[in-house]
Amino acid sequence: MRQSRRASRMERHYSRGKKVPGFNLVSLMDIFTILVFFLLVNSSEVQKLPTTKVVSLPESTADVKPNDSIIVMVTPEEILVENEVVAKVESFKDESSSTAAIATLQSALITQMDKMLVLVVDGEKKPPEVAVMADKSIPYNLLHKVMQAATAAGIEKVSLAVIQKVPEEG
Amino acid sequence: MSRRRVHHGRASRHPDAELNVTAFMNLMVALVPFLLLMAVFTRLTIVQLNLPSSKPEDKPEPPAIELEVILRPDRLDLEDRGKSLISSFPMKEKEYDFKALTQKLREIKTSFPDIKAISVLPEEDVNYDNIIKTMDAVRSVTYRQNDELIEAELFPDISLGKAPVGVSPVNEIAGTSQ
Repeated sequence: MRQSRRASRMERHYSRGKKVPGFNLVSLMDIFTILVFFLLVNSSEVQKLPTTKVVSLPESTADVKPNDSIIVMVTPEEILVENEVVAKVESFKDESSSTAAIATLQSALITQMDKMLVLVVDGEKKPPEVAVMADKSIPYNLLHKVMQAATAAGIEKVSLAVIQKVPEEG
Repeated sequence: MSRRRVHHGRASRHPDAELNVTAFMNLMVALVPFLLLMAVFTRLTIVQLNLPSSKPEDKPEPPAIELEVILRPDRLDLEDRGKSLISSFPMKEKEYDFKALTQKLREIKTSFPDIKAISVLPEEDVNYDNIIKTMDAVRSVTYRQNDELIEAELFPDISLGKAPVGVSPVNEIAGTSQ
């Protein structure tokens, strides 16, 4: 059917507005690209200590990076060496059972030391290290016993894991 | 837009060329959640302690001052080992007064600039969190100068040991370095 001039003009007029505008993805792509680069750079740093929700670590202004070490986790209930429960915190409470508990912790540490690769620097064996990830609520008493066990196992370096915070004015 | 609509013969029939970003978007949508999951927002650091090794060490003459911070259940004591009590900081609102300790240590640091060692000796029941806070207070001081925060070193070689019971200053000390 042949359209009148007016009809075709009107059709053209309506079709003009109906053209679907393409999604404007430019800003979304910008965000994503920036986010991806930020996250890539951020995650390039390998975390040597695991993050856990079991222990709430204290905050400190210390800025020493953790190095490879045996991880001893001290939760309010249990003591774990490399994610294996070794002793209950309760057994550290009274004198008689705590000696036994220290001994078990010590032997667990020695087994872990044997498993670990030993770094040899200048012909000397680098002594193994222990990182203690302790809950902030534990008393010093317990920490001291864990450190005692570490010394007894022949470990010379003990470090305490903390969450880094910005130093305040003081 | 309207300018492009101006008819130029046949060219007008081609729609505006658009980049095909679907593949790129797919990649981003996959990467972003993955990296977000991987991202670590709390940075873990360590406070290093060196336990005394079994090897015998020859000890030079004792330094001019051997500082000790003793964490009592109700106060902080700053002592020169076995000699004198320098000062005692009672608790403020059930919290240890770390700021006063840092200020006092800053004064001491000016008279003994070469000394770096200090011992932190907590009593048995002292909270681990408070031990770390004491170490922070003892390690360095942050102060404002010309609108700039400056971190000054105080006593970074921290030893951790047991608090002396009563008067006798007999304690095992684990030597540490920062």
